[in-house]
Amino acid sequence: METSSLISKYLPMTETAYCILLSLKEPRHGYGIMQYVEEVTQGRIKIGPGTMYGTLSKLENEGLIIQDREEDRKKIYRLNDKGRKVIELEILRLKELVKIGDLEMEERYE
Amino acid sequence: MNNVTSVLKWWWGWDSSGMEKMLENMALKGWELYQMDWMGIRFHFQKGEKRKVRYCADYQVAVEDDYFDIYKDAGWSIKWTGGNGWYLWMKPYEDERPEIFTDTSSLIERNNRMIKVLKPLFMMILIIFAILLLTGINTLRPLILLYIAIICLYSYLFYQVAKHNQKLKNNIRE
Repeated sequence: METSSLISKYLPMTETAYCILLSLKEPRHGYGIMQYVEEVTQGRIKIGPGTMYGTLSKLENEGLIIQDREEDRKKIYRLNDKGRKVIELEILRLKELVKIGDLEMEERYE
Repeated sequence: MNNVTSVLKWWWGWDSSGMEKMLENMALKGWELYQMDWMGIRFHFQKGEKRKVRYCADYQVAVEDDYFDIYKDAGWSIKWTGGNGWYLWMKPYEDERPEIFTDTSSLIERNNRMIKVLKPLFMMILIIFAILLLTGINTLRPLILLYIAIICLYSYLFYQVAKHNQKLKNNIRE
């Protein structure tokens, strides 16, 4: 898929989807993702199980993550190439926003 | 003193928060939910410990095993499964009231899942209604009136879900 169509189809992401995709750089199951996200955001973002289940199914249907394997009935997911590309594009988008934000605010307060 | 009690509480699928609040208030007073009827409107309680419990209703068309694991791992227990796709979850808590849906879009999606199931049913009803009108306008009057009532109810449901989703969408900041 071309970069421009990935951008128009999947960006911007919700915070939840962003954190889930990021966490799936390593294979994880649903609860593992919840713990990871709570830890790296120092408790700011807590993902509830309803949101987790729904977002995982959605990301899987969109072809951004795949099932890696199953352990004790639990599905373990990970990013695929398309998902990796999309998260990279999202990080670029966010960086650009932060950059113009920083520039603008510095100007104003200097 | 009675150790069991029951409450009749009607609730609409697009906004389960009133029903959830009622259950949580009962739990605060020491009434623990132990049974519900198949429609999910009669709630039976038994006397237990007074505690803070969060109740949340989810709607799913078809779930995989994984669904229950994700909830259970996160500390939720299933309280009731309605044959029509409803799942009632509960989790005791101390400080922060937990949620099963932590972003607005997942609530909107829950409501959309309901619509997706209702739509084909509604189409079927409309088709039967059309056949009734064509074949028996004079002889089947009571049935036709019944269908008009059902169609009105469905239209009300769709309208309310759409209205409620719009309200949710207005809250999204992202």
